[in-house]
Amino acid sequence: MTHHPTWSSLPDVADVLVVGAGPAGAAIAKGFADAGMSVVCLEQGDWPDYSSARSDQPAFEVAAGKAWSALPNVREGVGDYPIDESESDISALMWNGIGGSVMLYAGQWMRNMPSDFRVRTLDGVADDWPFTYEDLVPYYAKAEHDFAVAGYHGDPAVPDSATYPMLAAPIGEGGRRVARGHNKLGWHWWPGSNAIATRNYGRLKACVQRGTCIWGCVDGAKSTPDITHWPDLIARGVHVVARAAVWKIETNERGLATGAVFFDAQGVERRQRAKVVVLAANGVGTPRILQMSADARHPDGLANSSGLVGKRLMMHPYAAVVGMFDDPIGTTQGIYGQLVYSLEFYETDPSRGFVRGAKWNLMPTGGPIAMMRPFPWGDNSDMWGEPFHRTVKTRLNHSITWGITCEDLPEERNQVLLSDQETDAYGLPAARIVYQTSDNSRRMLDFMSARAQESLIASGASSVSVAPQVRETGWHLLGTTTMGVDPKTSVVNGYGVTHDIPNLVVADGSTWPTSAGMNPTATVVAMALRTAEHLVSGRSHQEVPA
Amino acid sequence: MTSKTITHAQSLWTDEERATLSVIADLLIPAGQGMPAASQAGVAGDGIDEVGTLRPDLVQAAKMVTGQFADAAPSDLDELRELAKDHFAPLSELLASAYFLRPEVADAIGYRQRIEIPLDSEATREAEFSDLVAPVLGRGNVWRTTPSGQRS
Repeated sequence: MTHHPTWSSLPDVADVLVVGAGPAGAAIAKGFADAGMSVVCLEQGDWPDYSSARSDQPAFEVAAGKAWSALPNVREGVGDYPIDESESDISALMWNGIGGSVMLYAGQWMRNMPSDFRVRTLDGVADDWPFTYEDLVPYYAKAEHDFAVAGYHGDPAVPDSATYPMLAAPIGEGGRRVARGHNKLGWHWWPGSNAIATRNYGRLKACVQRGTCIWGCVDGAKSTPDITHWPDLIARGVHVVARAAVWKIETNERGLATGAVFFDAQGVERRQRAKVVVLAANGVGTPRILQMSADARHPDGLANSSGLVGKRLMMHPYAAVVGMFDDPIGTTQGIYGQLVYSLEFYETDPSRGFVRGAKWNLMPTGGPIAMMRPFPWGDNSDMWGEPFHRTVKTRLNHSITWGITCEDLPEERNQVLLSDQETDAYGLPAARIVYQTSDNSRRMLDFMSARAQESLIASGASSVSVAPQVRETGWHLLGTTTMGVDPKTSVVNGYGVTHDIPNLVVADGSTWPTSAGMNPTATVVAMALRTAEHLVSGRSHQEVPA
Repeated sequence: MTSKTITHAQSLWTDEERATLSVIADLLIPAGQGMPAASQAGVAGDGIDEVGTLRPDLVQAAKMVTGQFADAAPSDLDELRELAKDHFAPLSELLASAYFLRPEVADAIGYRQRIEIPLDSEATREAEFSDLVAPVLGRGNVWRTTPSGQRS
């Protein structure tokens, strides 16, 4: 769908202004709308155009490399701003548009583990979160229903998993082989949990295993807020404005946020006032807006008395290990979420030489063009010429990959800054990312890659390909407005409310004190629901501008 | 050097660019394993037109390379890699994409496009999962407990 409200239809002062129409923005908007509050959501990008995905056409893999690229610098969509990544080991991946960056996710849906909230207590590194896993449990359950998660109950490595509203998708021949391989090794595995419908569910249709999940699901099976949330919210009176690029949060003399300044599709500067402002623009976009909002009262940017806005960026260093089998295993298609996952090496084991761990997800490898791309194959420079056809035949329909998401510990040197070299279409500063993979992460990547090779060999693979760290894998943008109880060492409190400005809230993954090793959407959404409930219940005490 | 614009007024490529790309495509994708060389499959004809229309970003990179080799096409893969290293990735993506989109190539490798594959029934999936996860369940709960939330 598309929807473009008239300017005159918007409230002069909204109860809540949400910046960003991704999963965090959608979940928190729903929470406020459920309480009868007026909500305006401003989104810099447009509604998704699934016709550009071509997922059901021969040219799908070709077209996907541009219009549905996860790299904004390649995609150059209407809502995209440039990102200077010249000082980063990992490229930041995102989707600037209605639906947010889950338009590009594989739908892999994992709760964080209890230990993820107690990293300092358990492992003596980084910080504990200001709340616990148990605090989030009821919100996880609600999120799994709102986002149509398909999974298999009873995983003994995951507490409280018995809330999936539908059964997991087939794991395929590749999944079966790896499952048996792990059973032989005595290692954990489990059927994949994904926000991909396996039966008709609300506005979603049952998956048909086309395997195009991260490049535009033309079948309407992948759960994204443009389908699951916004149409219903708009019908209930929530105002969603696409092509509204927020660049500044304004404050008054009382130190309260009064609303946002944005450029519309014609480049006209406009304002939306609100009693409460929520930023849900991802771990790069949110600090960028706070930094661009610097003024005489806030020379270092908004909500930045701690000096931590933009710092502690975490992006989950990612390895890919591919197993190739002598016979075909049907991996040109299948859900391109996770067929199965493994948490065998998720928790800290000091004997490994690093702290924390990684989650593994098993995925099909796709069609012929995907056989020569850096993901998941790494450096492909030696496949051309005489080895070309042999290489393609070895890989195509014969291979399956472990993707390895490593927990990334926060370091202040890893950060989001404003570029002084590049600007976006409105003349606003581009984002600049500085990120260096830590020694702990490198040791973890090496360990995990070695174990994943053992996994695939035990599963019957005749050969294995290892990409020890893949650059274009920064799907998870975390930590840049870190959460904590002390305003000197954190930007927001345990509900995402900024310490400096009591009616300015951050609802995306920017708030995470540590990164866990899981795909973050489940926890981002659960936290947004918890924050909405907290703000709604405390609305009578909420400080708001006059 | 004068460039002659071929056939279609809106063609993305000149004759010279097509000729150079044909030579380069065969360096990247020679005949073998029962598969045709890139030139035999028509990569430098309709193939690069189709891909170029969908991916103008790749066209730009390919034209940089054909410009580099305007006087003489590269004689081998090493020369191509060395002289076109800044554009090698988009160049190879353009030409290999054009190759795999050719119907005869798609038929030969057994892949043309993504199709609908209905899910197995819930009963089938339940039965398979139940059987396969039995050893995992047999090892019992394995998550790490925390001081704030001892659970079993």
